Amino acid sequence: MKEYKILNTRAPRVDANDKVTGKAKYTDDLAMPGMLYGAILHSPQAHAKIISIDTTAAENLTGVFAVITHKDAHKVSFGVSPARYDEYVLAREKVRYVGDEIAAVAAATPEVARQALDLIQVEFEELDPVFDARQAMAEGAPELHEKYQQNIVQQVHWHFGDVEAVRQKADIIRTDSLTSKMQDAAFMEPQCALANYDDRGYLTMYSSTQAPHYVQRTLAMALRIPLHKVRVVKPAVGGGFGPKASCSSMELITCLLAMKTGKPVKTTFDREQVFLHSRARHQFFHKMTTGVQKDGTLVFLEHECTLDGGAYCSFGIATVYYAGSLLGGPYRLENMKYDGYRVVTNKPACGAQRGHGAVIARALFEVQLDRIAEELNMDPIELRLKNVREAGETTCNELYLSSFGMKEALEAVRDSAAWKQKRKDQPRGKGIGAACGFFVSGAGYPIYNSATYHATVITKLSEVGGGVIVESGAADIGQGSDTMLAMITAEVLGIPLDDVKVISGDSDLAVDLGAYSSRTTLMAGAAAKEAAESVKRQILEVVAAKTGAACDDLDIQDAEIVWSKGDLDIDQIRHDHRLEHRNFSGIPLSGRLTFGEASRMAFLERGSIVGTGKYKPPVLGGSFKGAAVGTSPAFGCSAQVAEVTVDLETGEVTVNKITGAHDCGFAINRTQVEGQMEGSIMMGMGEALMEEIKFDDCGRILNANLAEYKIPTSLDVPPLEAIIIESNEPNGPFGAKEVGEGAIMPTIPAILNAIYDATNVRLDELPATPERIRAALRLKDKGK
Amino acid sequence: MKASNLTTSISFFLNAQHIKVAVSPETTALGLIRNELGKRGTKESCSEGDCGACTIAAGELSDGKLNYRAINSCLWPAIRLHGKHIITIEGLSQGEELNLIQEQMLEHHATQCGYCTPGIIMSLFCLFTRKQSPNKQDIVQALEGNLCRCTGYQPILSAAQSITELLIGKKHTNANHILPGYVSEIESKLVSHSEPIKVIETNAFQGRDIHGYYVPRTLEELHTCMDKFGDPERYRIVSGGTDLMVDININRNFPENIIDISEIDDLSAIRIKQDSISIGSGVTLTSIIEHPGIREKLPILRETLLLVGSEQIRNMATLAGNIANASPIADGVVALLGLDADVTLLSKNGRRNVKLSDFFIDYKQTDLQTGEILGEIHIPIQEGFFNFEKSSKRQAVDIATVNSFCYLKEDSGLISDCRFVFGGMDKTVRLAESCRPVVQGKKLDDRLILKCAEAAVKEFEPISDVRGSADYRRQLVENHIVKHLHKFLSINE
Repeated sequence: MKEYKILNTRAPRVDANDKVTGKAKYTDDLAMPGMLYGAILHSPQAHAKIISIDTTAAENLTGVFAVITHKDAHKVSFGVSPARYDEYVLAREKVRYVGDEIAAVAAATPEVARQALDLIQVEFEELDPVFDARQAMAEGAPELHEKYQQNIVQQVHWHFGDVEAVRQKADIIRTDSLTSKMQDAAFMEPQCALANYDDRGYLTMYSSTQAPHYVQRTLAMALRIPLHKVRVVKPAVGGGFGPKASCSSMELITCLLAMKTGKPVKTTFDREQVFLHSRARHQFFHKMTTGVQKDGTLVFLEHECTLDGGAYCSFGIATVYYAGSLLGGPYRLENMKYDGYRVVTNKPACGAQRGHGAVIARALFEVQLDRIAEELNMDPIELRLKNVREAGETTCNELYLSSFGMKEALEAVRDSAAWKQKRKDQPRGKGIGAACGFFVSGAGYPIYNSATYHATVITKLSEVGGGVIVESGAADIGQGSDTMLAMITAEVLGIPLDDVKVISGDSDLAVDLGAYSSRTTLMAGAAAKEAAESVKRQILEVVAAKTGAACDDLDIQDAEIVWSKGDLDIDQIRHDHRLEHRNFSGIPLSGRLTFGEASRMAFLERGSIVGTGKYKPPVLGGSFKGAAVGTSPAFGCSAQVAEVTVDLETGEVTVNKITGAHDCGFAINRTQVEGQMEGSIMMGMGEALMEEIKFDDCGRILNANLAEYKIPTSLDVPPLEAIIIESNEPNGPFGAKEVGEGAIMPTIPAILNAIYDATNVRLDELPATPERIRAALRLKDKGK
Repeated sequence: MKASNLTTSISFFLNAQHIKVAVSPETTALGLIRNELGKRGTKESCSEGDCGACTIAAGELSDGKLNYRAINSCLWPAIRLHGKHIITIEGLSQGEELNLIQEQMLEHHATQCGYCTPGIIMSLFCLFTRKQSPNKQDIVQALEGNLCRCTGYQPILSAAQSITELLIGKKHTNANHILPGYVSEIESKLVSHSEPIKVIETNAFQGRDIHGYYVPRTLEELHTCMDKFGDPERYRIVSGGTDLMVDININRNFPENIIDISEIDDLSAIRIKQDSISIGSGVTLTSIIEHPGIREKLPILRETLLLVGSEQIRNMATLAGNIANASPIADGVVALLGLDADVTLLSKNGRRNVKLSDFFIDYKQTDLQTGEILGEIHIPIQEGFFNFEKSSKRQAVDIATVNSFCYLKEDSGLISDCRFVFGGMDKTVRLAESCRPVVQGKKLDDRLILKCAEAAVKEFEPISDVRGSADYRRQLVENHIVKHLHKFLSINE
């Protein structure tokens, strides 16, 4: 591997200083003069017609500046996929879940705004609700949206290869199922938006978003403002994990309130609203039938899945496709049938969450592989190694694996976790389990049909010389993309990381589709590389012209201009530079021409030096319906081994260790790669063992808080070992691809497989709470 | 809305600054510090003490030295800040130089989205002001009340570990290691700080429902205050505040008045006597846990209370608050009932003692009469076997599905006395009465254990809720009995 100065190190994050000192500004930390506070009235009904809304008393309350309902908004539907726009800024005609937005207030203080909400009178006519996805699809079920027959938003019927033709070849055929529960992403920063509409008709919104670009488009469309007059700025964001990847009603409402009052308006969700708005992980009902030969060769997979997506489509189309498409790998499987149904019910809408659509499908398939291995009397890791694909292969659903360190990852966790020995020696109550997974490194296509670049970057030399400013639309939501952009730029330009300043997450700066589908390092990183290379070439051209050296013989190393033929004659250049900067500090007196001097010289010669970079994936995927979902310029892959202890009396699980290996192509920042792996593993562990949204009979969330919706605490952390595999992705900048989502894929099944190894009981429902494990243990005891 | 409201003038130190400010009763410390005083580094994420993003260090003088405790500022009435030294994230670095904790958090990539980071650093700060070389257990305990969704905690734990190593080895080059330089100056200013809390009548506040916040300093003042309102519906007594503020922040239940008993000296003592221990109702869980007398004479209470809430919650909450609340699941109450505690109820007319087992009447209902407050808890010191069990989804900071306490006394190989207490199985925490006849006077063996478990299971008719089904709860009762008694047997082998 090439030697790098900046890349592949453990450089501190560029935003870490601001974050450890409390100086980092999140949206709710911002204020504007004369700012009002927004508040939203949510539906207490799961399914009802709105007969009337009386806002008179609220409007008359002192301190209230505006009260809005659907009448104040254009009748423009919005959502995520243009083909399934099914939301309005505020509910028209009916509400579809407890939490649907009905009206909103802007007031002088948050407290007055809340009091005004209490004064709004809404009359409903209750409709029958439906809370179960399978009931929602049944004949005669209450209909949520006119356009969704049988409440099905999207169905997928895929058949790759020929399952019927090969069925006879399978020696073992197994059918298993797994049901999960709706989840919450539980990011620490509740959503917040601050909007300002100025006298020229320009709308600026600061928002806790993962995708300023899509939010900008949605605001312009739903509020009927020219697109170029809408600016969306992402300040520091306290985590997203998916639910912040689309425009929310709250963002639209906040803008509407700002437009109506002519004042800046800020709306901040409380924790309950985070749960109500949701857009987090769907509930999945998976059933899989897999056939294998005696030697472990996979023959076919038949897969059915129903997704309960709550009241609106949100990301649902992509979710139901991902649930099927990402089983195309990482194993050689030439015959795959998939029937998927994405359904609406009267619950909060689900969307994308880390590992979008694929996590529970992966969980069941990997659990099923273990059950097959047991029937074959084969080591589960051996079974996987026998079937894993390698770089250069294409899956049955036409996903091309340009780099693929799956085998290396699996072998690394096997060896590091002392798999073979522990698999043999452990007593009942202790278990070890393994699983694999893979994920896209950036969706191959934008959410709306367009030939847009997915990422552009503008890199500018500071005119005074010495510094570099990178302007990007990329959204750093905590994953560290600003640091990635700075590191790539510094590496290309041969300068210290400290001399690169990244400004990002602003739709006025450049295009970036956002922080979703693990796309930023590959796509924005590639654009940043190209932009930096352009700037470098421009500097060196000027230096070449001034010194007479050939451009190709020049380079920048350690912030100095290096000529491969010897020492450049720079006396005159330096003399001029020193004259210009009398009394400044840091003016070089001797040695080589510095990057600062060269950049100043380039500016004096050519004006501002700007380099641009862009990235757009090539045309990817097959031509079948839905072929776009699952395509990516590269795929990350991951293997993990989990070790657990299960209390056979109470069903309590203690995870003792998780060993993970992830192929990220090339680690731009090694510690950040490990950080994504560890964060993914802990989120997966929470989902495997404790996280579930619970509802009462009326569709109200029973645990819309962080006390009863449990996520892991520092006490729950087992030792985590993160092994980085680098397969050098040809389509990624410096060989890099994703790590943010692929690393969650194996966690749930590795834990479930370890629980089985410890207890011999199988769970068909997630999460694996003590109650469920204990019930399964009981059932097994009775069976004896 | 009331015609007039009371506002309270308080005086405290915030980082290096002296603050004098008038606050309204429902204002939280977080609201004051973040919104009114503009320290935006302290974050709000859940508003009910579950996440720790709003953690601040609250310093109080103890023997002339400032002692800092991590507090969820969302759960502290702002008035509580009076007379304290508060350190927020903004108060740690000096100029461009980071505090050692900040520096190590940065080095270890222990911040990703950064929203939990200020709270985590303040929790670690409080830990390191008390312990130079905390062990893994101490570190995890200090952080258990701080949720982080990005890092998986590992880099945070590594940062804490390396701070410890640097402090022990004195290898740090960072002069600004833990305590900021201004602390000693504030220490001396606080020694002479004698400005009282002032209550001022005002019409200035709009949009709130709490009329007044009272901080009596003696029992007499307390009774006068309670008398003034008469009807207990008109006020709420607050000690730790962790329940009241959740009620205000989340449920928007505003009591007409708040009477804060945390400043009453008579209620803040722990007294160790020959045969019993008395704990005042104003004593925080942390003070109980750290009391050397309790560690020596009642280690089981300490161990149980360590499982309650988080470090931040234990620094605020009181055992008496758990009792007065009559929570059917509180860990501390289960232990107290198992320890056969009783409580002293105080009124202006005198005092009366009630057995804790008689104190709980129904769901969230107690024997507390109008004009009475819970003054003291008395726990007899007994010989015997004590054990506490808790079943919950998460290792800590979790309200139990079922919790239980077991006391056993053995005489010449036979059980001579016993108490089994369960939480989460009925409207109140209560004794499993039917266990006693099963084991009393008998020699414990596996057969008897099963009979005892069977008896306990039969005794309860639990409900199903978000923490577990009725059936699962019954199974847990059986498990708990088995666990208690097996532990007893293994100790007595």
